[in-house]
Amino acid sequence: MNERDPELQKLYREHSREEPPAALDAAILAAAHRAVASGPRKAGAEATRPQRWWMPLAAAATIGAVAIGVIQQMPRESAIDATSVAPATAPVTAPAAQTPSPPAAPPPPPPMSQPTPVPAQPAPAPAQRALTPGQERRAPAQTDALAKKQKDAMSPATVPPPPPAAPAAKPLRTEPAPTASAARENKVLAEPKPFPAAPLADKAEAASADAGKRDLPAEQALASARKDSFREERQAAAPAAAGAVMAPPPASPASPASVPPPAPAPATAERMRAQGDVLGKLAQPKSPDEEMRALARDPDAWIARIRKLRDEGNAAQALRELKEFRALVPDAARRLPADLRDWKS
Amino acid sequence: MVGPQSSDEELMLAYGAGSAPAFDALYARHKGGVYRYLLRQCRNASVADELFQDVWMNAIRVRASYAPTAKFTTWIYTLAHNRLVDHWRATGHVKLASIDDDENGDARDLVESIPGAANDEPETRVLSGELGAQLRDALDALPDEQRHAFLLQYEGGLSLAEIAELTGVGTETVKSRLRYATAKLRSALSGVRQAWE
Repeated sequence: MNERDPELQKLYREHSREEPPAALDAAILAAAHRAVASGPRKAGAEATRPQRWWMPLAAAATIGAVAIGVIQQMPRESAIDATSVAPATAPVTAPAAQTPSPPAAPPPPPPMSQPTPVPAQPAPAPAQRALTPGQERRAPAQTDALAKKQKDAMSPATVPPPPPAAPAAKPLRTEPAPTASAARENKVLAEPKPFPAAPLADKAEAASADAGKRDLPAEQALASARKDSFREERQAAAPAAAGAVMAPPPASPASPASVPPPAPAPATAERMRAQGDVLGKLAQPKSPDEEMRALARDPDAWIARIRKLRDEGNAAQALRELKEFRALVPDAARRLPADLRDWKS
Repeated sequence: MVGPQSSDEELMLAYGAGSAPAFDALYARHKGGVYRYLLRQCRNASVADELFQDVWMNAIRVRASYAPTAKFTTWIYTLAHNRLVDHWRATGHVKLASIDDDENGDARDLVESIPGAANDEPETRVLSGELGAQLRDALDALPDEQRHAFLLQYEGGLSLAEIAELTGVGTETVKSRLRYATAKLRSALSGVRQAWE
């Protein structure tokens, strides 16, 4: 029910026109606009918007920092891997120069096989190309210096004339001389190759490379290779083998001995040291102390070596090594057999 | 998107969502009615200004919680009514007992028998020639409840039920109040209206 009187309503409308003051209107409208511009809802949105954006922004910054760190670490690791893994992936060429080798022995020789100054192995091994320039510079310089020390330490009677002839190394090996095909293959890989690669050295290199491939400690692989070599030495009949091994390396005019060798990476240094042990026995590039320490790691083989030296008439060398054996092997008295224990002692 | 055809409720919701122009439109529609409602009730322009500002500021403050459960007009006049009641309580306004609450009608008869003031005479208004002023005076002479109901209906356009809900009385009571208010105004303006016509 509508109680409105039309006439009264009309009269009331016509004569009732009061309005709020303009200043009051302006104040209320300004307050309303302020409330919308910075009111609770808008203010809350503005307060939370930066917080909403901070999370992805912080996450992106963190991811970026981690990515930069990883990128900075990657080249270093890849460089190390390139020097340490490259020998295992080097071109397969050395096995051609090898004779019966264990089936598990991988063909690529380690990178340190090349710089050995042994005349019997002047031909650069295939892994030479895998060497870094620093390694190539370091190896000849080091081996030259070590060979010089070795030459000084050796007695004149046992030192044969310096001709770096290949036959000097022959008595050490039971393997046949490298075939023509192997020589051809080596020649393809490394042009300056006056002699074919020494089979024994290749075998040691292969064993070392095999150890690297199977992730075994290099020391174990080299020790096994050393055992094989001693076994072969026992079978060898040539009496001048030991002296021949000690043959000094020929002077290498191209060896940058004056260039200070750069510090190798840890993995590379370890590999170089391990390979140097084997090659030091074969080519004697290291000092006698180092050689003795290397031999001390396999006392049984060393005993066989001393006995062999004695049997071959190289009493001075046998006595010297026997003395070193007693000094370096902790339980030398127990290990030494009776004949060596009482021999001239 | 709000426009001229948008309802009061849509405008208020839009303002609650952050649309300032919606409030501008809403304020333009209702500022006069709310202001006159307050002005007629408190009969003081400065007080009406203060109350008017408080009402709209309150509407601005609670805009986010506004729910269109009722007409916007009902909502804004409820805010104005509550603010007015607060004002009366604060100023010690003595609310007289309503004759509408007298079921027997004795009080109503008594009030009806009371003669009006001398300036309420139609001749005086004709002499002054101010129909509007006479109308305002007639409104001022109405009891608070009748004037309240009259203003809510004529200014706010509220229905009987809405007025009843807002004032907290029954619909019949609102109807009675409006009937008495209309009769008094018509009686007060009859002579003047005849002269004006």
